[in-house]
Amino acid sequence: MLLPEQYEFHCPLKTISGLRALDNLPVELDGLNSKKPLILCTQDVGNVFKQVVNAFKDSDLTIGVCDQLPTKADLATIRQLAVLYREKDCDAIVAVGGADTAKGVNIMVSEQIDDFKDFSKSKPLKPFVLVAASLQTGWEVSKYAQIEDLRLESHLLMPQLAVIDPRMLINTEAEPIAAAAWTTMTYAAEAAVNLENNPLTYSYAASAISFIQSGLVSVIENLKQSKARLELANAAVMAGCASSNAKLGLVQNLGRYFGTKTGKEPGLFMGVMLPYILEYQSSINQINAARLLLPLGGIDDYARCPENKRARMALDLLYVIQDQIYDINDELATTLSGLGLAKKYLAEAAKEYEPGCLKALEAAWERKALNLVK
Amino acid sequence: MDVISSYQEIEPQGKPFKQAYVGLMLWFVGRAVQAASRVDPVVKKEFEDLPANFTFSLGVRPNGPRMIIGKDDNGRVNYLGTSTDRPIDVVLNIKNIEAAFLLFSFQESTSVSMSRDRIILDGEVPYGCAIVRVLDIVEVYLLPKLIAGLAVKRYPVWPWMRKYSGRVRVYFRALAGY
Repeated sequence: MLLPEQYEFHCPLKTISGLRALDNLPVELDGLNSKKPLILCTQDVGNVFKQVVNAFKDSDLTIGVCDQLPTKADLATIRQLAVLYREKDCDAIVAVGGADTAKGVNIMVSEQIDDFKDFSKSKPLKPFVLVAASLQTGWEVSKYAQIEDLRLESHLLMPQLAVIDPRMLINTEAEPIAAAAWTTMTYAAEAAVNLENNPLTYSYAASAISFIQSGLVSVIENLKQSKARLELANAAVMAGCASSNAKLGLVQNLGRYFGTKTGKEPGLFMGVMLPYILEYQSSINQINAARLLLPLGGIDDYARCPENKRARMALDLLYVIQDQIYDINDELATTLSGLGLAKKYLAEAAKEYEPGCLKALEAAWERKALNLVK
Repeated sequence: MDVISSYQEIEPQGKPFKQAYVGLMLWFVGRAVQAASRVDPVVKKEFEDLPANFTFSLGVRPNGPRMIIGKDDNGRVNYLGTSTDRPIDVVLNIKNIEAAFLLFSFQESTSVSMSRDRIILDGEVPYGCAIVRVLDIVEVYLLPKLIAGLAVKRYPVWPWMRKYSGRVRVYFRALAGY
């Protein structure tokens, strides 16, 4: 990679990962001058939330806890929580699991506003910490928040701290974990292949890709594999940082579009489409897919492959991951049709985002070889 | 369920068993460091190389048990209990009681605990390293080889006399408190 003439990379995030990482929460919050954090936990986190409360047992902090948050952020809940935060005199926010609601509350309480249209994006927000749970995608640590139909974007929304503790990463079904991991892979891959990225974005993205590549197949093979879960959670944090410093890619937009149309997890669509759309974009020089080879194939494959074949080999490796997952668990679809997507949506989506990608979408619909990159 | 009605405020309740266990260990290790400084030539030399009236503390954040050890005007090393008016040169703070429990139940050695960022060192790093070396030697005296092997970075090969006679004297002095 060449050093760009000019670039910016913003990442305020400190990450603590590993055995008993949660127990560091009180000392870290103390470092952020917090005496009374408000802990916001989404419903999908389940019983492991007790581990977070236990981490404060021996601290000198009183904590406020809301553990019944909806997984999708809504304005009414955010307004209620902002009032609660002020009434209870809290001074920091700890999000456990989903973070969109917490980001919304943080904007309202930091800027003393009641409507996001008044978000100035110029003043620092209150201390914000994320505790990773199962099914993290990277969106949680990113600069984005999705609140109903409104997408907010500011580097101020990134947490100051992410804590990844294996005790929080519980077993889930294969489909949701595959959806989360493919979402992470999409964030990382689209950040890595972006022609305008910089060495730091690429470093985060490439590390995320190699962890997902090893973690995803292992976790589908054995859903109890805690090391693989830890790899996926770390990858999510890295991918979130990378995607916060890159443009939102086509696969992410299409995945969300199809997710809305079908009510299924967008990550499942992203996983199916990723190699097809990247192949299409690579064929018209919108991206550099060759940058995926090193993190996906490792140094030996990278060194063995001639320079003009690297993009093809990287894309093939993505198709191989799809096949490996399908071989292990044939309930996980490798086609858009298998995910129950009506064919009419392909043209609609292509028209909305990128007309040229229709052929790639049709290939992904029935898993047909594209052969656009030699 | 209404989100707001699920709100609850939780006060810290403490972990009395772990606090008591770590407190007892720190008390005994503190007395053993004092004893070892009078019995073991290497520990003695480590303390001689530290400045006059050097004092250090090892404790658990935020308000957990603590031990303080300091040199007096004559260079003698004393266990000073859990608090002192003297200025402390090096403060070793274990970040939380769980990390302290891992350390003092020998699930993690001091060096591993350091490398996993479970201990905050406030003071000069070379002095901190000297303290860790002293603690390693004291653990070898106090613990049987099987357990000490988990607690120290490398189990040392000592002459028979140093190990067993030293162990008896360190235990005796630590219990007697001189």
